[in-house]
Amino acid sequence: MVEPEWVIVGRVRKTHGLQGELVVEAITDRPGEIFAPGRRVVAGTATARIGTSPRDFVVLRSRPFKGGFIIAFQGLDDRDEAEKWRGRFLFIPGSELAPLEEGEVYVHDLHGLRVELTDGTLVGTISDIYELPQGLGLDVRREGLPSVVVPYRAEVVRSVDVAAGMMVIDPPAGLLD
Amino acid sequence: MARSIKKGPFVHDSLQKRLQAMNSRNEKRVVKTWSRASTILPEFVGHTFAVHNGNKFIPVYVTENMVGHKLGEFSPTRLFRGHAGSRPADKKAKR
Repeated sequence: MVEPEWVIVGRVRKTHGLQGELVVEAITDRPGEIFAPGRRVVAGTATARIGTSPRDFVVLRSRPFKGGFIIAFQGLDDRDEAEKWRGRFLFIPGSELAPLEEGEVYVHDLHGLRVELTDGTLVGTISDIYELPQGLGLDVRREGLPSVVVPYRAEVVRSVDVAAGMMVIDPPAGLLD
Repeated sequence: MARSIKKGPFVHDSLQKRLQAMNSRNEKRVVKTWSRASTILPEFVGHTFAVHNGNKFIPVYVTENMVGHKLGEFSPTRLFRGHAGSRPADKKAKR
């Protein structure tokens, strides 16, 4: 597994008030920790890239707001200045990612994995990941067949080996028909 | 206006027949269906449906708390790929 250089943790939705505060949508499993006062994040581009001129921001204060946060960053105390960061993605260095526990995997690591059945038969490769009401769905692109959506559930996905780029599944009868 | 209680919940005939046949044989097999408007009945629990969303079939494993909802509620017609798409984000997948 190659550690990504930068990892997305949020996105600036809009400005809030006249003091340069930003409404940030958290794209992380540990928003309270990432957007705690004193933490550093890097603002990239609106196309989810770090870009050529990223800017470091240190969280001054934050409070929950409509599923996200209202954040005041150090050095950003003017609405007009804050407006320039609307729509931008916020990153942290890949080295600051939390270590994975047993059975956990980062969603972005699932992209492109080879999917095999328990008997070693190749099914295809993961081309897309969907957030469904019932959990993650993995869109597996198959050679010469329509793609199939496989639920990311313990009963179906037997093992995930990101280093080897492989996932073993045991789909219920009829799923791959 | 709510559906009349006299009629009972709507389930597409062929879907109900297939489920009854499978339950009588004690068989578990993914049931492909286009009937998004069918109500999830208690006898559907434990079965997996592949519900068409207009483009592809989305697998729906039925649990008890889905009873009373429609199959289509679990097969969104606009698939959400996450805010970060395929880019690295601090999001973990748990089985």
